Amino acid sequence: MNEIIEKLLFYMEYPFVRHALAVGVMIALCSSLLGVTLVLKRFSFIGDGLSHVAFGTTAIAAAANMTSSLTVVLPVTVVSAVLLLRTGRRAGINGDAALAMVSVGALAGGYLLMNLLSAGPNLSGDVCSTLFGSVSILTLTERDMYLCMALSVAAIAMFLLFYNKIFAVTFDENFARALGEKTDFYNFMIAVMTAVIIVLAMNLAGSLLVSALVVFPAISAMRVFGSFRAVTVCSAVISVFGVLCGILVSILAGTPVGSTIAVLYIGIFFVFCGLGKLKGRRE
Amino acid sequence: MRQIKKILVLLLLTAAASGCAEGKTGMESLKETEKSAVSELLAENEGGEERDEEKNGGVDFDLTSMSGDMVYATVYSMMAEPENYVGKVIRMKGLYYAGNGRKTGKYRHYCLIQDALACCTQGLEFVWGDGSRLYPDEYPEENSEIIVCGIYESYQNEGDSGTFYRLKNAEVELESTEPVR
Repeated sequence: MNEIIEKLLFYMEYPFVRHALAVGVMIALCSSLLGVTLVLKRFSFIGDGLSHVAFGTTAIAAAANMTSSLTVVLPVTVVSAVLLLRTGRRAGINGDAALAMVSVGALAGGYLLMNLLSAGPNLSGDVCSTLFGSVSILTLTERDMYLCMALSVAAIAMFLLFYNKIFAVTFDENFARALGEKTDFYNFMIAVMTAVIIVLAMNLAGSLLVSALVVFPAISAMRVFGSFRAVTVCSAVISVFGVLCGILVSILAGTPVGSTIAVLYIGIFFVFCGLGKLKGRRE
Repeated sequence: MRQIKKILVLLLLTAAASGCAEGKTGMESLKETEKSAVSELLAENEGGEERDEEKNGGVDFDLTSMSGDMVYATVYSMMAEPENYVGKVIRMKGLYYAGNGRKTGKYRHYCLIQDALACCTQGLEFVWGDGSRLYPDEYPEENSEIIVCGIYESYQNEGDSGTFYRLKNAEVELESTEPVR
């Protein structure tokens, strides 16, 4: 045990480990806060679709030899999120079908582009790293780190500022509209926040595993708690705990960061299922 | 109004936690923290040279005792922020690879490391001793597992504007004679 602690303290001396933990915690907070809303609005799979869009855009940025793809990926993903969440229902295509089309289309297009216009020799490595994250969080550039921190703070601030409105839109959009709330604006805001968080979370878990960050903490918290506030707080705690443990376990054991976090979340989910059953029996 | 106040307090706390202290911007403060952390780490390595020599045989960064993720991230950091590592003694374990330089026609020798998914590979060039060894007779077979220990330096090729990095005066230990496939 002492050896593990010593090793951990030794690793903590490296700035990129401390940065990874700080950025990881912020991303975990954001994804869990919005995760509750997305799960309740039955948009659990939106993370997957948007992360595929981000993958496609990353491929374009890589083909164009751009050093930092975040500045291109972010706006494109935001536009996609807005189109999917707001106008999808007016386009005559079901929401889930539209999501599937965008998701598969972006993934296929991105991979094709990477093959045709790949700038580097390690194509499989580039694809694998973008899809599964691996050690992306430990290799963030300074610029990306600051951007991640700033966007995370902005997303958390937006969520806290509009907590009541988000609550209203999440549970009964029609009722909120009847009360005169600008539901379209709040839906637009949720779409923008979702896109930002998905792009940020891709650094942690990669494009394919990003949904784990959005869905598992919220679903786990819902096994035990019933109110929106309690679920949100519990989800945030689970998310931060999972990400911190996941990053630490990964750097100690040398495992891929994204999949380690996802597996930890699955474990936490089963623990909360047990707790939920215990709570149900008592009541 | 009360809620807005609460949120403002929360935001201030978050900003403080992110490094916005003493009237500096978050970026400046974080940059300084990072730089001072690196200097501290390097100063510790320099200051405790005698102790390190006893403990690590004069090695400043021993990557052989690190996990795969940390090795990958450290080598990435050596490429991204070389100024923090130039002049330091680095010891690392990886797979041997030889590449023929297109412009110079000379063989360059690398120690390759992979990430946790084994899909991304990074390589660090090394010069074995004074560089007088003959390739391929006096070098290991490609993909053999090696441990390289040398001083990290920057250099430039003739007719090339880019700066390259490598381990000079490297000592090479052969970990396994069987090539890793």
